Amino acid sequence: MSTLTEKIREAVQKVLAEGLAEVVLGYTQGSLPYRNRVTAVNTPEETSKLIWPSFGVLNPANVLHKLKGKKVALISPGCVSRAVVVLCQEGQVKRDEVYLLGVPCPGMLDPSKVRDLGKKILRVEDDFKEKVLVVTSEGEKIVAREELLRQNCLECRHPTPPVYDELLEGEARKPSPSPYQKVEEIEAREVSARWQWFQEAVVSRCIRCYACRNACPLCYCPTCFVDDSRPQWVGKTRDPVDTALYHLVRAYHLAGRCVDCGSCEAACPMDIPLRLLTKKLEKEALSAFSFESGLDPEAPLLLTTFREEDPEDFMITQELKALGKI
Amino acid sequence: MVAAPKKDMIPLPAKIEKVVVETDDGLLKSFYLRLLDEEAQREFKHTPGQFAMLSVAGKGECPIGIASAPSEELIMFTVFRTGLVTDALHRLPEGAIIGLRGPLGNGYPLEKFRGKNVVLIAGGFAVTTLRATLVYLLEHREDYGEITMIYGARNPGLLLYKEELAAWRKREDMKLYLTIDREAPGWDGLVGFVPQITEQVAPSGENAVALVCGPPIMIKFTLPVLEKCGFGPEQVYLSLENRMRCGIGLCHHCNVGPFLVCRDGPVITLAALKRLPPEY
Amino acid sequence: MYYILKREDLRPWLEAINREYTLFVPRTRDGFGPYEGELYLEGKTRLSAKEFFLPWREPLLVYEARPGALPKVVEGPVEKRVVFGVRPCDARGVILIEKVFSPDPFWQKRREATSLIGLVCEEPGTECFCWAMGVNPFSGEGLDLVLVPHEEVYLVKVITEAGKKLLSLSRAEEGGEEAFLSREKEFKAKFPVSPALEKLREKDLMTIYEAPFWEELALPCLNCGACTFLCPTCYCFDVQDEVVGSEGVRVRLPEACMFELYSRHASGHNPRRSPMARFRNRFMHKFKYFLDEYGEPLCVGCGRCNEECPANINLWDIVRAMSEV
Repeated sequence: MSTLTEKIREAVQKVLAEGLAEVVLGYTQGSLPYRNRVTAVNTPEETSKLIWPSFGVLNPANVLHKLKGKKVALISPGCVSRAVVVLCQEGQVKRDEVYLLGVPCPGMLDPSKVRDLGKKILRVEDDFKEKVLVVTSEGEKIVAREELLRQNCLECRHPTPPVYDELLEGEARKPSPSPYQKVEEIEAREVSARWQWFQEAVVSRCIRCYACRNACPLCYCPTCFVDDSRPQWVGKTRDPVDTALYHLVRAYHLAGRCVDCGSCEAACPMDIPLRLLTKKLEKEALSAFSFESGLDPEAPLLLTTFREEDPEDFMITQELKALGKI
Repeated sequence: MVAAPKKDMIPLPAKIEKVVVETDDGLLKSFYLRLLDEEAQREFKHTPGQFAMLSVAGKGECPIGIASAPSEELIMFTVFRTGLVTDALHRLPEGAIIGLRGPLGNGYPLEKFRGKNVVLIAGGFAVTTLRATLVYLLEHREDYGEITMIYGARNPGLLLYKEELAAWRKREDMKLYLTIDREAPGWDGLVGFVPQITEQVAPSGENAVALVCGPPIMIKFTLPVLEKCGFGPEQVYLSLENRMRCGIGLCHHCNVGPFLVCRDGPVITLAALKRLPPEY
Repeated sequence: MYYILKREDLRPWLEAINREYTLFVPRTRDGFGPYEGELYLEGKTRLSAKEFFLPWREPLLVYEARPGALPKVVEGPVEKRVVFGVRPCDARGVILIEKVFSPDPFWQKRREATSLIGLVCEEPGTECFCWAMGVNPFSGEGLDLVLVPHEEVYLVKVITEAGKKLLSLSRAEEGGEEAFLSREKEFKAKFPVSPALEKLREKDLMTIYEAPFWEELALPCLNCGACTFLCPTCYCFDVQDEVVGSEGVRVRLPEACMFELYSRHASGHNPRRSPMARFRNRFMHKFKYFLDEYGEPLCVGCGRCNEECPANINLWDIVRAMSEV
């Protein structure tokens, strides 16, 4: 048992015993060696099912809407804490109604990277530091953790939760020095090649199951624009125009909000690299406004804040100025 | 593969011959339709309680109860303006062509009701298929016992089929109790909710059936009254509504547990309903 | 009738079929596509063969987008096509859906126009449980031909005349019956039908429906459409009118009962408003409503839901809970 798991169970016992929360959201063992599942713990006896996961790929903050009215504690690595912070900023959750049990996060493994290591994966042993032992039907493999990490963990700038009520002891991954490398690879392409990438990697493969939207802790609109029928903004089939519109609007709707927890990408049953869209917008928010989401529940939201010094280079006036017309 | 008889989703073109605005708020209109194909029009045979899918090209289809009786020349629907399709339908003028698919569903087992007293209890615009039923019953008056209708609306302006109501009121071979929720100027009839009026009227459950159509809240409070009057659950008939797409038992949207409203309903006895999950 | 096809004769056969018909094959792990050389035979595809019969977009009507325009019925696909590499679980899915869809003209046309060549798996996938759901992959149910990979050859069983005609395009030779039957026997002995099905049949519907386990099992569920859209037996559909310019088309498309919109009335009332109610409905349909009506569960044990569920919900947790309540 990893020491982190022990610490979590101990802390959760205390949280429940002291009444700091009525229910705790965390992870438990999944049905496959490379899957974990979000779970809720209501009593101290149940804490034994909690683990610190290798494959905690969905953000439990997403479940908060099902537990309205209860005080909820969350096992919170950086991205869970940040998602809750955004929910607080946006008035969806009250800060004093959640208890953040912070965990310095060593990063999560990518289930598909592990799955692809053999025909059948029988067991995975993770030291949460350097190495992962994967037992497959063909034999054992020891793989460097770095090689199996999820892409968003590799690119994570806040493995240690920025906001918490209690922080467990542990060693977090170092913040990524180059979070936008993958985005930049796409950016470097010609416009037509970027469009082609978008069509091939995203649009043509999407089956409109909305797992990405439903997995997102920040997609909480009571009626999503794709579900509206009066007016019907977007068609519902796999028509490329409609599918493209869905993904573009969804990504834009997360601009300045997305905490890059990677739930959308992990949820996608078709393995679409959805994060690249939101990551691109995260990069824009950072470069244009020096803004990172989910760091401070008291801070104003990016898109509802105007400052005089905000850059306006996206506005057409810049072009007109350049042309000497204004 | 066994070739089964085809059940398709192709609507027949129908012309709106007449539109009647039924209520003061304008939210209910009756559409009198005639199928363009003469043979199809002649062969359109339905049982009161059945429904049809009405479709407006570009907007979609929706299920609406058939408000006309089988003997009436035009197929009539009274439509509440509430969603995408009904909204579009309300904008159409007389003479416009829409699509019609039906009749669908089971309808009331009127043969089974022969010789019995029939109590029709309606609230709001759910009266439509009970209008069809009443017209049928009056046409076959000698086959049935006492006929009683209790019909309530929020205010007099929201009562449908006002001319017919006046005519039915004068008849001696049936009893019609009209009620509105609250006192209103010019209204000299009953005042009170449908369940209360039902309690006052106290129809006997002996050799009788009750057909109840109305908003959920009305149904909820009417059922215990009927029970008190001696109506067993197998004597009470309800009509279910659920979102549906096909109307022919394929798309599964309208399921109430294993019961498909379009295929097994919409008419259902209270006894059968009690065995189903409460998903309506 | 049984035949033996050498593995090296597979591609020439596919080429020959492709010359006479439109041939679809599993091209990648994602799913099927027209045969262009690419062939994925390592396991079942993510998207099932269901899409050949319930496509992602089925136009029903076309019309001019002006008031009074009369719609024209869309003629369904009639081009003869052959789908190779259909897993027996997927073929079984077609048979189950057909119990409901046989009166549908679009379904009928697609079925008549399509031949299916089945391919039995080398070994069960990690999350597979077809046998537990009463599927015998060797039976050839729903297929025209069934191939069993065996040592250096494929053992072939001819199911229909159409299948026999297709096989005549290959270099297959008669024989292999004994090997085929012994493989089938081995499979049946090793993998029995789940006793859970019998228990589910006997259980009272409302007892399962009202059981307390649903809340807990549904908690992690995202209510997305992943399981539904990947499932070879889920058949619910939506109908949409799409208008582009002056052209209108009414299309049928897959829909998931997990979606809030699925059961929401125009009034806003929703009989299955809670995420748990929608979750429960999906499994009640598969393992009780359908089972009671048709005698078989609406599941073929392909395991796609287990593999791809974003929340790692496991079907067996649900079946177990339902059958043991």
